[in-house]
Amino acid sequence: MKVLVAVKRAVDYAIKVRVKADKTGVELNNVKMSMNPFCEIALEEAVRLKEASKAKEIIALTIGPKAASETLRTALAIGADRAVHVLAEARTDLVVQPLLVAKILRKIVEKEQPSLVLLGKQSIDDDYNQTGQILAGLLGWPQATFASKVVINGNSAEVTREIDGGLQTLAFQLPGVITCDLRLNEPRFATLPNIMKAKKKPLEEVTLESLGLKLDGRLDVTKVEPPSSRTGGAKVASVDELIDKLRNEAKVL
Amino acid sequence: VSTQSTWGKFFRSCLRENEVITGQDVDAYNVDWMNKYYGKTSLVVKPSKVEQISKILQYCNERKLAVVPQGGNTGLVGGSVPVHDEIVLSLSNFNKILDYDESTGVVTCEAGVILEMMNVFLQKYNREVPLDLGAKGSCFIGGNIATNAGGIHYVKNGPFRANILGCEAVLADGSVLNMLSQQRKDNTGIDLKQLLIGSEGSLGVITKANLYTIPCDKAKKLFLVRCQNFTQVLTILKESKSFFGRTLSAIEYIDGFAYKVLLEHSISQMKPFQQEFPEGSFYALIEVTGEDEESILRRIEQFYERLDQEKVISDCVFAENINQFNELWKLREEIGANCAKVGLVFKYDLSLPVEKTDSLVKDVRERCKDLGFTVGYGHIGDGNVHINVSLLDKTKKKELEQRLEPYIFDWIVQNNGSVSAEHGLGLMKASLLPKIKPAPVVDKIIQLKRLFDPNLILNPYKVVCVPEWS
Repeated sequence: MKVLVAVKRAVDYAIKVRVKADKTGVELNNVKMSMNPFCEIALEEAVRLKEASKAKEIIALTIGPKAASETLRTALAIGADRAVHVLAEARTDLVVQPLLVAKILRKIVEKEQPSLVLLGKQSIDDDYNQTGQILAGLLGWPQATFASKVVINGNSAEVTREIDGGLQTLAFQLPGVITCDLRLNEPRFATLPNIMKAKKKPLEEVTLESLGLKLDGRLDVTKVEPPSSRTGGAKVASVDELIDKLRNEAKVL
Repeated sequence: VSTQSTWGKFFRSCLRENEVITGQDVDAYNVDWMNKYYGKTSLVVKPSKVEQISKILQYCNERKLAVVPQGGNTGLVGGSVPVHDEIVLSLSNFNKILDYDESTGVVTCEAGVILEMMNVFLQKYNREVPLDLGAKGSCFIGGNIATNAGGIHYVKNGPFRANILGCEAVLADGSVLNMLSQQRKDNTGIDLKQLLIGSEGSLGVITKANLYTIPCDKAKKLFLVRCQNFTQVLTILKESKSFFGRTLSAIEYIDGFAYKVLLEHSISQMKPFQQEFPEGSFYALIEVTGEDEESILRRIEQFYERLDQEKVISDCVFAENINQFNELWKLREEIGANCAKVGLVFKYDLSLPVEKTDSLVKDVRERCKDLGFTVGYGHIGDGNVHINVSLLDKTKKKELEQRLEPYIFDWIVQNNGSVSAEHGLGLMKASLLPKIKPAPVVDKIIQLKRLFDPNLILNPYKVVCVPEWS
């Protein structure tokens, strides 16, 4: 079975981001970028499927500027067999949006014919949580999102999903789309020998034009602002004062 | 008649109510981080001004009341808690950062600032304190100065001492020594503060400091190497130093036994390698700095290729993101805490000829195999090993102690090493002073102690082996 894993280069999630003064987006200059943590989990799951002989070939894909190829090299080091870099000179947290990503993935799926597409449930920079769902819709494929457990048996997939009420298990016939959640697995460390071997694995660059697509984000990000800063608390001297403040200042009574 | 109540009255008269602690609340101040040393104080004072410390010490000095200055209480040699009922003088209310000079990078602060908080403050200037240790979330700058703390970046930054430009201290008689200075170079005769740095609370109480800060690294990468014997560790050490030069910011070794403890006991249950076989393995954690991650990675790859030709490395993983970076460092920083889960830890912090490191660890392991579990790890870049022996049978504590001491110390003395590379003498090793330094030197040290603290009220029984205490 061929597995397609899309991995996104995003701000490292341990970084405390700052919003640019013009409020158009988050400051990315000189900020550490890493593979989106949910994409790491999706990639790890693909590699485990290959180690269990359930998958034969893993294709890692990313969309973004030149620098995004670092993320593909990591993916190849972790265990992908080859990589596809769809070049897009644009902010992947603002301009490259889920609908476009899903359309790109559809083109690649039509070309590569994988049985399974593994994605992170969302990226930590734009938090859309839409790509997997839109892709499944465009392809007319079944989808299982927020996966915390994936079992593949021949042509059927059984996915346990984390939902508000607890856990839900779905079964469907491949091909399908699965988006991965935090508790699915613990991503491994890349080894240095593998990072060096990754240089020899095929990495194909693809332009949007060659896919018949262009950078058309239908959503316009009009403003990005930080959460309002926490105002300090205050001490009151009596219950009466508390009630007064709750009524007249906080206006919750 | 209990004089305690008279003292209590005095302290309450010059301090706020919540700055004088008695009753059960003193318990936390009586025990050290390792749960190994238990004091019996019934009084803790937490002044917030230098004048208060001056008054307190003057009062104590006049009445010959012993005092233990206490910072973050993260020391590892029992130096920060009372031995009997000495009054604990806590610096935790001295927590203000007073000034930062952007043009010179010099920060001025009170002694009770927590190291990590200092770094959080300095982050906006893209600077940091040239000191990094596992206890950074709890230890105080004052304590770091009093112990001339070492840490993981010693191999790049050198001793903390070099970056302490000035300090203010209160002596036993209450007099305040102002040795503050923001100048990096100041060769104006005898530098008195050098005596206080590393004096472990035996000569005075440090209240303020001027520290030289360094620019934060533009980029750094961390990798964990596994190899099959200690000779390979030495090769990796030698090659790392020569290949990375000043961009080598840390190199730590971990033996297979320490690694095994981590695999079995660490909360994160992390397994860096896909297949783990700690028995017979050795590990080196190496941190390298540079302009950007890509260029560092390329150099690491060249380094790896060179060592791979000599078949020295069996495998190597590295951190791809900040979370993995922190997880790998935690692996090294939590060895002590995880050894404590195996059993009460006897900790040794030693400097020795680096090539003899593992043979000492093996010696100790063999010698104590029926009583304890021995691990070796540490700042191999500085010739500094930490040996932890975890007590396996709670009833055999004295036996294990006697098996270990003075054996380890005698070994170190014979090999011209140091019985305390960075942790200090504290209570644990105070009695070793005559063994480790020549008699005339020891005499002068004791004379100095009497000069600064004639009534011997500061941290008694520790650091300096004054005859009255034995």
